[in-house]
Amino acid sequence: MLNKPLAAFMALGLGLAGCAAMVRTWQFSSSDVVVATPAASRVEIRLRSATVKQKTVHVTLAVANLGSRPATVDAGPFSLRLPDGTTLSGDASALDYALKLGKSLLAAVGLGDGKGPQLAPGATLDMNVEFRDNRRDLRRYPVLDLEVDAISINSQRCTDQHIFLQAPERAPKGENI
Amino acid sequence: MRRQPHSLWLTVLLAAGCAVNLSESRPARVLRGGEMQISNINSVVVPMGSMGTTIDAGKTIAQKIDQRTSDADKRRLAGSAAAIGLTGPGYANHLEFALGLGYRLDTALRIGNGIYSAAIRRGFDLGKWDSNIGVRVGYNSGASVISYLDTINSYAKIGSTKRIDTSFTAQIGREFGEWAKLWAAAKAMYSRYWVDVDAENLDLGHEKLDDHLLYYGGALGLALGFRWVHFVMELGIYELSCKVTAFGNSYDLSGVTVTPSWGFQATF
Repeated sequence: MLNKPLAAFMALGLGLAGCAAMVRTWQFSSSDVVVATPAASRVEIRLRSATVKQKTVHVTLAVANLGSRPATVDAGPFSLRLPDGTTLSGDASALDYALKLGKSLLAAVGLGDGKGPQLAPGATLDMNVEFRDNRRDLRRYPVLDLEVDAISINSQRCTDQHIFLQAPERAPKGENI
Repeated sequence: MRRQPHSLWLTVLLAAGCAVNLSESRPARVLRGGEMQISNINSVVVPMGSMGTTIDAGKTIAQKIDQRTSDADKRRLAGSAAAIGLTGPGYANHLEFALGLGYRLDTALRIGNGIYSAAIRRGFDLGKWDSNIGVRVGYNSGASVISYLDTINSYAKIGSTKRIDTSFTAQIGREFGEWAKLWAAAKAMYSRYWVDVDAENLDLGHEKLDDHLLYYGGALGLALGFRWVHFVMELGIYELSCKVTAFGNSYDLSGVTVTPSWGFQATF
């Protein structure tokens, strides 16, 4: 039974829910494009979405092969650098990780080459990565620096490439809460 | 039929009554903005001071009461009932809904066993450690009367009980990954009460008590689980400063009160 104090408390919660500090999820954005041109290929990496919650950042990257040859795409552990210098290590999503593990196991027994997927010319691949930090509120940072070094195109790493995730205008940027 | 006295501990664990609400049972880190927490906490209140003597004295009189019982003894019996009602042993279960407001503030509403309380905390980041200071104001409409005290309460009934509890808490704690949370708290609680004792059965009429209790002490807590759900355990030890005057008798119930509490907590 919902009594008056509980109803008042829920009303308080709902009333405050519109405050920026109470918003649980923010969508960060970026117009950065990483271009890799190994071995006459041209691959572009863009941010498709960056969902930032209290403890987690879920990033989806779109990897598009704009060249005329197939490209092999591999990904290692990603890094996300916070403005205070802290670096979080990100893992590929559980499904991606399982696929990668499966491929490496098959390669170990001589089935397949263990390499990432072949991306046909004109095709786009979505790559999901999740970062988690229990001690920080990741919604409060104005910019998050996603290092794209983890991606290799035709075994050539995208060295020193970054996609900067920008907080939306309304987010309580810089608030240390 | 009169029930034989049990050991205090066993009775407290088995009895369904209502207790003074001293438990905090929340980790030291305040909730982030928009973060929510729901807890279901059980707590037991065990007064270790002179409460046992008061209960025994009350029961002794109650078991022998007849036409020849003196007026002084009747008053002692009624006074015992009042004292037990205010500070006696008991059990409580509460639900708590907490909400992070952002800016290192969180608030909570607690409901259970006639207790309604609201709390607000301000957190401080100490690196690997978290701390907070908080205030809680509660309304308690119950008295800690438990079934084995029926022999006393059949002669002197605790009528309407109103209690406003105001407590101040300072906490420090640490989280170990997402598995464990440890905290220590210092707490002081001022409890103002208004109690109506009905001693018509003893021909003593009604008496209204209007006074206060003061608890001060601390608690140690531990939460074990993973990420969203933890099992919470807290042990509070408080010094009670209290003198109850009822029906012409004064009862100094000061002493140590122990309050173990436990339950589940979900944070999301």
